[in-house]
Amino acid sequence: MTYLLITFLVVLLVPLFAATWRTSLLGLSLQGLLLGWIALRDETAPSWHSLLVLVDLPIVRGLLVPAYFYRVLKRRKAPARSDVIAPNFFSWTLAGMLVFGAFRFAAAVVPAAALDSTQVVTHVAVASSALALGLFVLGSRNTVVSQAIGVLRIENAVTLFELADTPRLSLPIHLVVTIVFLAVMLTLGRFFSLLAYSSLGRNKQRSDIAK
Amino acid sequence: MRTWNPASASGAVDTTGRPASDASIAPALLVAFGLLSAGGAGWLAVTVHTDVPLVLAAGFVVVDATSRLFLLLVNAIFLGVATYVWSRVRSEPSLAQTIGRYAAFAVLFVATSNLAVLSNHLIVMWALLELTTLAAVPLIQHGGGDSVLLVSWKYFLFSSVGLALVSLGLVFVARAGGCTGHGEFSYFIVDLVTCEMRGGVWQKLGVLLLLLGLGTKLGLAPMYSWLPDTYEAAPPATTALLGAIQFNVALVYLLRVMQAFRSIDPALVRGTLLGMGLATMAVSALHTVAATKYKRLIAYAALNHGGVIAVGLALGGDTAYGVILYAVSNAFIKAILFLTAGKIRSHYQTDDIREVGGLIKDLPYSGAFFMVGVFALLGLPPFGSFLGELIILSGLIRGGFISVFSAFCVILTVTFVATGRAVFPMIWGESKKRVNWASQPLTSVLPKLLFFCALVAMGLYLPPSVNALFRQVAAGLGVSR
Repeated sequence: MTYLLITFLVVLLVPLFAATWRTSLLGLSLQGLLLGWIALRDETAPSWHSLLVLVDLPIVRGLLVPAYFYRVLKRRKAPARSDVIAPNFFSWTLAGMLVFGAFRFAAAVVPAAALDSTQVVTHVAVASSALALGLFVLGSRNTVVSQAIGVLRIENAVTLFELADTPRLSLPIHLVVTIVFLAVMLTLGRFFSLLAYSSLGRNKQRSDIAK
Repeated sequence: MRTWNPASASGAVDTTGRPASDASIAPALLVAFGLLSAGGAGWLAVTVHTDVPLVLAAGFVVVDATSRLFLLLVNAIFLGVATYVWSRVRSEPSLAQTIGRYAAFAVLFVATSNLAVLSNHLIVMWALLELTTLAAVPLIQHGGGDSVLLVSWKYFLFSSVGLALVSLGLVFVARAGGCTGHGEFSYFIVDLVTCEMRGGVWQKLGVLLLLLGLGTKLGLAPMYSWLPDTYEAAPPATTALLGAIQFNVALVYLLRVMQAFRSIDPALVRGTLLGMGLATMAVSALHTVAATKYKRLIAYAALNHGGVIAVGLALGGDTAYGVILYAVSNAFIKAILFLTAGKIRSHYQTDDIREVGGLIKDLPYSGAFFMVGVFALLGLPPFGSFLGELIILSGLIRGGFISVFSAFCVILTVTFVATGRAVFPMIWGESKKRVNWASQPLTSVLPKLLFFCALVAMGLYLPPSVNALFRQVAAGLGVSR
């Protein structure tokens, strides 16, 4: 599974350097598809649970949500450029340091004697990187699009942690969580539709949101 | 800031025009729902007397002292807010235009709040708390323009991040496995409370994230900045719903987390809550000194209350009774003050403290309620907030937290002086705009009067059955296992 995790890490990092909301949405879409792959790779026989995972991760997170946001932002003619972090060497170094720190953290918290410890360390490290970068994106810019991207990155990081070694949720509970996630996404889309053009993508020194 | 204010909606927001019947039916339905839910909560509080939690609906619903007390509180406040909305629509028919949508989301908000309080499953409770947030977004936006939209975005963003941290915390706690001697991790609260946690770094991290996430939802430092903005910009009825209902639903979640996970690392829980509580109180005091708008001032006071509750929860033990008393009083105080702020705003057409004066002469009822609310806010006797604060302070001394006690007292003094300096001229100062104010209908005064009675009762005399309920809730929290 390590190659999937490394791919996930690449998908986390690349959109930080490409300053458009389209790239960010593509990154989120790939994250959703990879999460689905990671979750379903060991499934031997189809079950209701695997069907729900298929709907939740690759279909909803990987395809529907990014497509919905793409449609809304395109209709709103949101400014193409949308840096999720400040486009300078300092921010990129900081992002690199966060990933490095996440790997150190994983090495420290996963017992070396654990079964498959290298794989678990990689999993925890990538999930921690996703979380740290999500928080970094969230805190870096004050435009609505980049903040929303930050929230979605954090949601994906939580899911990746869940896939690491946490007991599975029962089917009805998983269904409830998926429905709530969809409701949150619809609310996010509604904000994209309602908020002023200026607050969607322009990077301001001090927007109204920060006041 | 607006009054409960589809007034601004009269033309500005919804020009489609709702059927005239909305005006009479929707608020009446809101009150009817409030009566029904308050009646149900009252019935539950009176009829269920068992010390053992009653688990229903395949284990997903729990009726225990905590859920009984907070259901009663949530629904009493909602009934008061619904009556306020009804009375406002009756006195100002222009407000009726978008009341149907508002009422629908308010019902959704309180229904999910009730279910969250009754929930026995930490993830279901999390989902319901998220749904209360989603239902609150249109309530905040109601009748507002772009600036309110941005404020509601900020509320939504902070809530989403806070709840994401909570879900990550649950993942971390569950990762360490079930109870000692058991296999699978259970998210059911009644199982967790009786469970000896394994401990370890993941569970400690999980508890930390749970406290941070719920702290965000409660408006505790460091992620508090959404609270004053939202409380100021939202319509008063919505602010009362957020401050008195959603705050307490999030608090119930925190109480459940404390019941279940405090034993993982009591020192970590204590240190985190003390730090967050004191930082919140300090931030609130600094902002109170500089506040120039009365609704914002009340919002900062709400921040301060959150801080006091966090400090009290950190101590546990006998202080838990004071915390519960303080939290329930706090809900009534916020409801009284925010609903009264709506009246003041509609009379003076300003948010500025300096432009309001002689309230007690201009608006005798509202002035009196504002005065009483401010006294209770400042923790003066004979209100429940005074007694609660006193118990928390004595807990600090008994626990040997002298430096925390000193900081607590200094911050409270600053808050007291700053609030009094700003608010007392509003109440007793020179009148700024004296008009013949029409007498207020009983439906407008009654909810606040009942809240006031509850506040006094909590300070002077609680009927034994209600007091026993408070003690049961405190007992569930008080002991660090």
